[in-house]
Amino acid sequence: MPFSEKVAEGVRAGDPDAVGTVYVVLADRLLGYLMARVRDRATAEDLLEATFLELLQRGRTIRGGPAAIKVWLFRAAHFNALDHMRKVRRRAEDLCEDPHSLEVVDTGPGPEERAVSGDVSRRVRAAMKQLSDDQRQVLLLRYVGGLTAPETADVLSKTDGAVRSLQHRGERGLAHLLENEHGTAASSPQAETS
Amino acid sequence: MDAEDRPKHMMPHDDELDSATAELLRRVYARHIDIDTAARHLWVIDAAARTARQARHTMRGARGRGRRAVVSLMMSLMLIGSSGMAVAASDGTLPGDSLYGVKRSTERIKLVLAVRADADAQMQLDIARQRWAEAQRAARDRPEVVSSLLRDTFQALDAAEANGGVIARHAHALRLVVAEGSTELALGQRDRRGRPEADARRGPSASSAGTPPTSPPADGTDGEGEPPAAATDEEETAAAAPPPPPRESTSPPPPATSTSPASTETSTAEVDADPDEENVDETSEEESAGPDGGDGTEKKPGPGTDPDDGDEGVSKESLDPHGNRSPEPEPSPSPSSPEPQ
Repeated sequence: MPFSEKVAEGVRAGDPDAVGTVYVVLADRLLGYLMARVRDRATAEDLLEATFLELLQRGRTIRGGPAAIKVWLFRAAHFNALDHMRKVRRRAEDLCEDPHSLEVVDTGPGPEERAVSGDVSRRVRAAMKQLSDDQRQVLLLRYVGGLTAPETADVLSKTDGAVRSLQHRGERGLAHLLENEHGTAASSPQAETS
Repeated sequence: MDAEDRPKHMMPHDDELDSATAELLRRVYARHIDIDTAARHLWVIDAAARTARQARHTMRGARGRGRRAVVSLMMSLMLIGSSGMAVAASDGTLPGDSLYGVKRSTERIKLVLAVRADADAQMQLDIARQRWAEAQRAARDRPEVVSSLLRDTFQALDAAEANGGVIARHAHALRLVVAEGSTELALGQRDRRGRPEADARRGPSASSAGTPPTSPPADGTDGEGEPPAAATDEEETAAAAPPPPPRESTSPPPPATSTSPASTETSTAEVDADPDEENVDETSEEESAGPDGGDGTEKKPGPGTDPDDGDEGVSKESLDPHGNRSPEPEPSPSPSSPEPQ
C-alpha cells in the first residue's frame, strides 16, 4: 500500500495532515501523469493542487482504503486534465486558432530531462501521440502513474481485460513506431549519436 | 513508512510491465515537484482546511471568532509571500496558531525531499542496472556501443551513490560488479558463465583463494570472474559479504606491461578482443577510474584511478570515472567473482 490505513481514515475525515501525507507519496507520479496529458508544467501543477483540494473536500465520500484513495486521485486528475483540454479546445475554436498554440509547453529541462536527450524525448512523445487515446491513457497510468491494471481499469471505467489488451497493443505500437523512427533517423545524414 | 520501503511503494507492479517501455516512459515523463510548488500546495491544503473549520465556527454564530479567523488568515497569506519568514515565524507555533499550518507544511516538505532522494537514487540504480545489462548484451551483438553504455552505467551509479544509505550500498556493489565485468567485456570474453574456463584461461593466480570477487583480481589478471548475473542478487551478496583481507593487487594491470601468465593471456585475449581497440581502451580507463581498486595497492593503469573502493574493509573513498569522491561505507566483494576457492 502506498500509505497506511490510518492515513486513509484521516483523508476520509478531512484531515489536512493526512491529505498532506498522501501528497508527499503521490504528488510526483500525479504530476508526471498530468504533465503528460497537458504538457504545460504550470497548468499541470495547478491541476495537481486542484486535485488535492478536491480530495480534502470530498475525501469523506471515498469508500475504501489507501488503494481506493489512490484510484480516486488519479481519476480526479484524469478528469481535471480532460476538462482543461476541453477548455483549451473551446477557446481555440472561439478564437479560430490552433489549440496547441494556446499551450505553453514546458521546454525548460528539469533534472530529469537533463538526463534524457531532448531528441529521445521528442521521439517518444511523437510516437505516443500516434497511439489511440485509450492506449495512451493506459500506458501513462500504468507506467507514469504507477497504477496496477485493475486500478487503471477503475480510473478509466473499463474492464481489466480491456486495459491489459490496450496496454499490450500500446506497447507494441510504441515499440514499432520508435523502431521505424530510429530506422529513419539512422539512415539520415544527421543520425543522432549518443 | 521507512525509506527502504518507500521506493517500492512508488513503483508500479512490474510483473506486467515491459521493462524497456517502463524505462523509456519514466525517463521521458517522470517528474518531480519542486520544493516551492510543494510548499505552496501543502500550505493551500492547510489553509483550505483551516478556512473550512473557521467557517463552521462562524456559522455557529461566533462572529467575533470568525472575524479574528479572517484576520489571522490574511496575516498568514501575507506572510506566506516570503516563505522564509513564514517558516521561521512558524517555528514555535502550536496547533491553533495561524502559522502552525506552515510549520506542518515545512515538515512535509522535508519528508518530500527525503522521499525524493530515495526515489531518485533508486531510479538511478535501476537505470545503471539497465545500462549494464545492455552493455553485456551489446558486447555480443554491438560491441561499438559498449563503452558509451559503460559510461552511462557509471554516471548513473554516481548519482545513485550520491545520497548514501542502503541504495548507495547497492549501487556500490553493482559498481564493483560492473568494474570487474567490464574488463571481461573489454577482453571480448563471450563466455561469462564459464568460471572454471575463465580461470583456466587466466592462469593459476586467478583461482587463488581469497581474492575477493570484485576486488582486485589477482596479480596480472584482469577482472575476470563470473559474469555478472542478476545484478540485484550480486549487489545484495556483495553488500552483505564481509570485506576480504587485503591481499593481492586488485586492478587490472596494463596488459602490455604485465609479465605474469595471466597478463600474457590478457594480451593474447586483447588481440582477439573487440576489434574496436579504442573502446577497449576507454573501457579499461573507465574501469580503472572506477572503484575497482581493491586493497589500495596501486596498480591502476589509468588516470584518475581511485584509491580504492574499500574491498578490504578499509574505509576508503573512491573516485568515480570523473574523479569525484564517492565515499563508500563498505566494500563489498561481489560474489560474481568466480573465485573458485
